[in-house]
Amino acid sequence: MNILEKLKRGFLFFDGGMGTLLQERGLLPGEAPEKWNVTNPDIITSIHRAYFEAGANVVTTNTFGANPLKINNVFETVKAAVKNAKSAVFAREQYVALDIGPTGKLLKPLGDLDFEDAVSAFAETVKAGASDCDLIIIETMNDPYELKAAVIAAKENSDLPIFATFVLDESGKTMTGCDIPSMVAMLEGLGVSALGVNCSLGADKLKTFVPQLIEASSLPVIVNPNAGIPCIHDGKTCFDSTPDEFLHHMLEIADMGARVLGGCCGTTPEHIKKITDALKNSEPKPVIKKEYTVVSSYSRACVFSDKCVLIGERINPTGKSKFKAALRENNMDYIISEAVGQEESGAVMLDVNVGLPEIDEIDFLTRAVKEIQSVSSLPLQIDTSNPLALESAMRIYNGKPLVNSVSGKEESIKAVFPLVKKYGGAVIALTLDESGIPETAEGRYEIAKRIVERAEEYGIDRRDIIVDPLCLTVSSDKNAPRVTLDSIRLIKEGLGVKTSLGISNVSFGLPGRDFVTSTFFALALSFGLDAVIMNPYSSEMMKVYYAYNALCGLDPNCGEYIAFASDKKAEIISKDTEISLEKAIVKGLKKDAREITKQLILTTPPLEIVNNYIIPALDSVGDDYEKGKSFLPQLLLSAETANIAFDVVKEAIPKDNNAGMGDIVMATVKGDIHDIGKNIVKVILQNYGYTVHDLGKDVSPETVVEYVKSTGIKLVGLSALMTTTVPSMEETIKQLKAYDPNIKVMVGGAVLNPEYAEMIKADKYAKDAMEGVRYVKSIYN
Amino acid sequence: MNHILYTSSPSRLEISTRDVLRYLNVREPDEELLALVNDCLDEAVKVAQLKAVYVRTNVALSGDKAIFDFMEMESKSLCKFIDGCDEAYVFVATMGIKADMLVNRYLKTDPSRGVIFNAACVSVIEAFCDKLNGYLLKTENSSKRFSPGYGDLKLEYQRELLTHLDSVRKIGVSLTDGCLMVPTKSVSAIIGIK
Repeated sequence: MNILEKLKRGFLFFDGGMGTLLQERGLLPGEAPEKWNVTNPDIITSIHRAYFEAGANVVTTNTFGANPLKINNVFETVKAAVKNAKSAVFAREQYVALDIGPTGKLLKPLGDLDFEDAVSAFAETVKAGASDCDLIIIETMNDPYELKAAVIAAKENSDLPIFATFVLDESGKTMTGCDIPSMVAMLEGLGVSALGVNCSLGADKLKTFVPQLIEASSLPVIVNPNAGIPCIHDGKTCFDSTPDEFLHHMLEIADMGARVLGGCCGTTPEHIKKITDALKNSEPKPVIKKEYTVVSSYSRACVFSDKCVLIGERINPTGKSKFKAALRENNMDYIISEAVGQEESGAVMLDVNVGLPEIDEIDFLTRAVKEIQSVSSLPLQIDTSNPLALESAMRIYNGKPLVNSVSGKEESIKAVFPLVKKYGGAVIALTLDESGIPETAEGRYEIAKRIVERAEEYGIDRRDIIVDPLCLTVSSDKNAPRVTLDSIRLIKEGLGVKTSLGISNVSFGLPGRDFVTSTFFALALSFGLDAVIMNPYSSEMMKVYYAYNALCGLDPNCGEYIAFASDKKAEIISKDTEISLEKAIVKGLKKDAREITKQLILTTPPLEIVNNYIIPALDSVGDDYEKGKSFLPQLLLSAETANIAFDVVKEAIPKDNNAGMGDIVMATVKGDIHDIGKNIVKVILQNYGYTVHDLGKDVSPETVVEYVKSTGIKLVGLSALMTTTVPSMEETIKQLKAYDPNIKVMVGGAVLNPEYAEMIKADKYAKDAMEGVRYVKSIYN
Repeated sequence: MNHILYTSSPSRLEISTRDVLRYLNVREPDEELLALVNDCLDEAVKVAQLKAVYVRTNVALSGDKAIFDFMEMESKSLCKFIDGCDEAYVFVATMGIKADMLVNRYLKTDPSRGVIFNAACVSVIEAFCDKLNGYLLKTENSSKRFSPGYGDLKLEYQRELLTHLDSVRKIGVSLTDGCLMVPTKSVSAIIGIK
């Protein structure tokens, strides 16, 4: 009987800890336990056997740290470990799980490990061990992103069932802040066979989170707690639990519905024997399939329920010249500000579309997804018609994405569904096919039905199909909205799936579009619409959303409505006191600066505003800063305020006159992840009108050189914070100068000084942002 | 080696607005800045997930080397710091990854808040270390500690130190290739016991 059949029939018992038992047998502190697979195979096998004798069905190989980022000889170690575990098998229905632990490094953007490097590292372990094992257990994962990398490596290099467990802290989240529903959504999407929690907490604490796991998961749930560890909390010490106490909690956990039970740190064969003895003649609770439609990010899950899901549509170049310009200029800041702006306006998910004929969509979409995820925890809807771009973005997405979209066309189905099966995701399904968009609700229902059936053939559950019955413009067909509304109802009732609409299209070609769109939104809500792709900056739309929820009993005490409506009032800016633009900038009063500039632009030429108000204000703040009269936070506040004024002015300047003062490429060098200094200099430089091409942090010399080559920019700013990363600054300068000796390099950072800068052949050491500005000015004057 | 975990609720730390202003190098804050600093400090305290792991170890000096139970470090300045001590505590402490996430977000979307929030986070982790320090030395809060990167104590020792303290597994602190700790609001240090 294979492991999955065994799992269907009843409880499955895992082994307990390995490390503590090895230490009892002489493993030294700091010594890698994996080494013993080769040096002390008999001891390893005897521990595995002790667990089988205690009644465990599954032992995990001693390969927790056996990945190339931690040890050298992965292949030999893993082979030996698997052999040791196999040698312990003495009866039928005893299984060996290839154990995969975390790399010990944090992935980008917070750490410095690249996602694909993590996948490759895990792949080495899988390739070395999977062929002789019965399953793969990926365990003790703190970060959903690393867990995703491990699952992908396992899927791409073996056909074994994958079990996955993660670590919760006392708040019931992972160290990176991922909650249980998000983790479950991602893992189910990736197609693991069982999921759950291990390590970190004792059974007493861990059990409080088991109901949430059972509630969210349609898969068998695994619980492998610690025996408990000594811990001091505000001066009070808490201690281990005994095998009997452990059993007591594990029985409760089993009763809650967990089906796979075992132990982690500090647990011994004695702990496991208690469980297997107590439960060997019991039946576990059945695993219940859940019907939720859910997508997730690295920290939050978005469940499609009674309230309509608001998906922000603004990250899309269609009809937006500013956005198109940003894409062409590789300006990620624009996209980031749209992401955060929509989040602050109430969107709970963001559509991401960066399709323009002249850009490399695969590269740009992937980077946009990464960048947005580094500032916003909202789940994303990946919107592209390019299957390669879709795959690349789904692969590196941290969570379970929503895909926009698949249609009834066979070509589309064949391109999209295999990706959803591999990486997990929910999909927007458009009711159109090779013959176009049916004119009737029944016609659209038929296409939806066919898409759902085809999805199920691919092994994709219908709860992951969200049908968009399409809304055509009312100005060209007066019956179009009615057909859409009827379709929503028909599809929901007939297929039991969720629905979504890209709603703005309905009002195309009409004046006052917001009125029409929002009224149609209200109608669609009353027909049961579950999600809407919309403009969260539209107050008409948001009014409908909050008022509808309040009217339909979805907003207890009308709390959200009240918060929304009161917030509207707060936006009115008081104009009691007369202040000048200069003062607003100096004081960092952003709202005032915007209003004053808007007034000023009516009477004053744009350039005059810049030269007579904004620049003098900036100079005065910069001057005070250099004299020690004002300080960095004030300098930055003024800079941001001036930026707002600039933006207002820019709108009034004809486009071709809008050329910048000059370009500079900036980067924090390879190995360095502290980029605060670089970001400060960037803000100030932008303020003075320079265009900053920000390559980010931990940037390799090659990347900087490539960028300079492709853009022809001759000025580069580099920052490094630690002595350990100055050599990569030196290398970057060397490569830049080798490419073109005329390139000027300005450097800064805590460990640098003028002498050091000269030694590594930088052209300029800037001690702070203002000195940087002066240098850049001197280059471009 | 006995690893002991230590934690504290952030609201029980002693942090003042003055500390944050000191990290920002601001001597005369105006009212607006003060409000912003306080707001950032409140937020930093709210997102802090304070955790530390420590061990108690013997220490002996031999030339420029400090010899602990589990590793040796060559450094004149460290030897001077722990001269006269037979034992020491070695710890790694962190305020968790949420702080880094927020610092990143603010630096990209609201840089002035980013810089102030960053300083607020530094104040939180330092205050936590002071509290742990005081707890270990059984005195009031104390800032007497020595970290890799101080004086001539090489940052590269971080690798061995963090491995021995099992900091990845115990409190989620890992190292980059350049020996920097992630979460970045983390501190590793040695405290001499007299």
